Amino acid sequence: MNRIVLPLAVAAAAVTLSGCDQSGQKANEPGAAQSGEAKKAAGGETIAAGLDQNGRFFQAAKSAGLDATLAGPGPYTVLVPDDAAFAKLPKETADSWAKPESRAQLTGVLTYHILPGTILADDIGKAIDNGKGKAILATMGGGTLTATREGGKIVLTDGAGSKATVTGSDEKRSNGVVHHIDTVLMPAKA
Amino acid sequence: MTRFILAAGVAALAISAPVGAKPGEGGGHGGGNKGQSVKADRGGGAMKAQRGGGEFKAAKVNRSGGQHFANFDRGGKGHAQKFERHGNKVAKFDRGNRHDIVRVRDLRDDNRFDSRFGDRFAGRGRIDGCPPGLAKKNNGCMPPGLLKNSLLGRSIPLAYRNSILPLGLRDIFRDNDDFYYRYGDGYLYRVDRRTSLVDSLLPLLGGGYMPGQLFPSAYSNYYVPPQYQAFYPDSSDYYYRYNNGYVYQVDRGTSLIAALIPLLMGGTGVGQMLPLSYSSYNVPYQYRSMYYDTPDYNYRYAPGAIYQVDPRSNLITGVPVLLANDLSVGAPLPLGYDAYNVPLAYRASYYDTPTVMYRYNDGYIYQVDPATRLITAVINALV
Repeated sequence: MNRIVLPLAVAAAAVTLSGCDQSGQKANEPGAAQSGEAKKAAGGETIAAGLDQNGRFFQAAKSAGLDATLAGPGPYTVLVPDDAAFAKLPKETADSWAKPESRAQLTGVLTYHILPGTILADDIGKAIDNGKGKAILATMGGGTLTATREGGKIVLTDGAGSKATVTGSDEKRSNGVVHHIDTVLMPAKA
Repeated sequence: MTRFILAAGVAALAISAPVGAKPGEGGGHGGGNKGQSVKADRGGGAMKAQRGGGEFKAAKVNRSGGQHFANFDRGGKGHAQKFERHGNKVAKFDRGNRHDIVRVRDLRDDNRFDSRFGDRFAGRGRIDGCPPGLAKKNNGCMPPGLLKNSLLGRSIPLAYRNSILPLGLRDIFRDNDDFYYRYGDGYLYRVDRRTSLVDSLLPLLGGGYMPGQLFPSAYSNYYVPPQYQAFYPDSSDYYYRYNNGYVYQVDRGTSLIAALIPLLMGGTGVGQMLPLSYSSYNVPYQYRSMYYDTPDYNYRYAPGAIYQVDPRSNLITGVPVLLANDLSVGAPLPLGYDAYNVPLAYRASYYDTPTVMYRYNDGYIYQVDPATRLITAVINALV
């Protein structure tokens, strides 16, 4: 008899716990809540769907609510730093981004990696040539990036003066294009 | 170029200021803080760092202006009074004689006014010992701006006990075995499950200050981020300040906050609160066919983005569209549009030639004259 009662008690406890928790229900995906029209405009193969869902960039975008942006109509040009680029960040910076109170800062950094419109690597190349060796690119975060060419590769210089090399480019998506970079870009700050 | 460098310099300052005020970094603006006992007692709470200045000297109250603080004056005479905060006491001064303290409120002591200095107004028009405007708030006579100080280490007010976060935000503010979250009055409250006391506060609306409250003088050097300065020029009636994702429009005469403007690039985003002044649908026309209000979600435009908002809590649950907002016909093409960026589907029709170029921005394709760099026409690029 004891053997039967015990599992029942555990089951009851489990039910009570999930009742208290309030988070027992599955959380809504912000991207999933978009209207049919927005989904249609975004197309089937969105930037959000094409990114490594467990990659640090996508996880960061998700925690800042920008996964909905990347699943939205856009179009945007997204510069995705590899996980190795995130690993290069100072530990305290990376740790602070995980905290809710640092979301402002994280949003600022992420929107610095999103550019308006679809800019292919070739378009940046042409702009560099037309601009006598450099091109200024506006970001959704309000700051600008400077594109130059170094050793046949496109190099982006951020507001803080550090450089990121484009390592993989022109992953075309239904709502824009993705380029991969080897360093996390940081907007200008003191 | 000079302008650009100057802007960058200001950007640096503007960015450094709010970061310095981040919770937990401990009294970044502390200076002459006289409230040491409060800080020591309560250690590491979210708001003390921001309020570190500790003094509200410029806190003049205009009888007509304030929704909250003006309530203090109802029983008073027809002249303005001042409040000063010293540590955990808020003293009301008669304006005529700066040293004539009218009454003192001890924030530690159950929010009661201390009558040592002679409370001339006690009992007049009060409900449960509170001025009428504050009594109905059911939080112990506390004006909302001071609520945060009193709530740390106390049990959460009845009114917020059931204010559970919207589903979409529970991943961000995750309840665990030790804590759970509730929100209200511009703050997120982390409640310790063991003690059921508020353990930390996180502002959901800038510094947690709302329209009608006094703008703290400790924030007076928080300038608006440079990319937004052109949109919010100071006038003879108002000036603008920035904190934690929000631009505050402050009335010069009363020092009361007149409006809150959320800025995505300044940090307002998912999990933050959209001010109530954004209660009506305002999405830009080109996006209206895609983002319209439903029973589950509202969509609102604020500088920099279209936000998906939980209608019940007014908390932002997603950011489906980022907007740059800087191109218009007749204006010069701004810095940063050197590269051709027209969406792939439109490239066959709109491509750069020596006499005309095209650039995409916020749902439109703009036609630009390469010689003058002026925008000459606009074409809708959304279905």
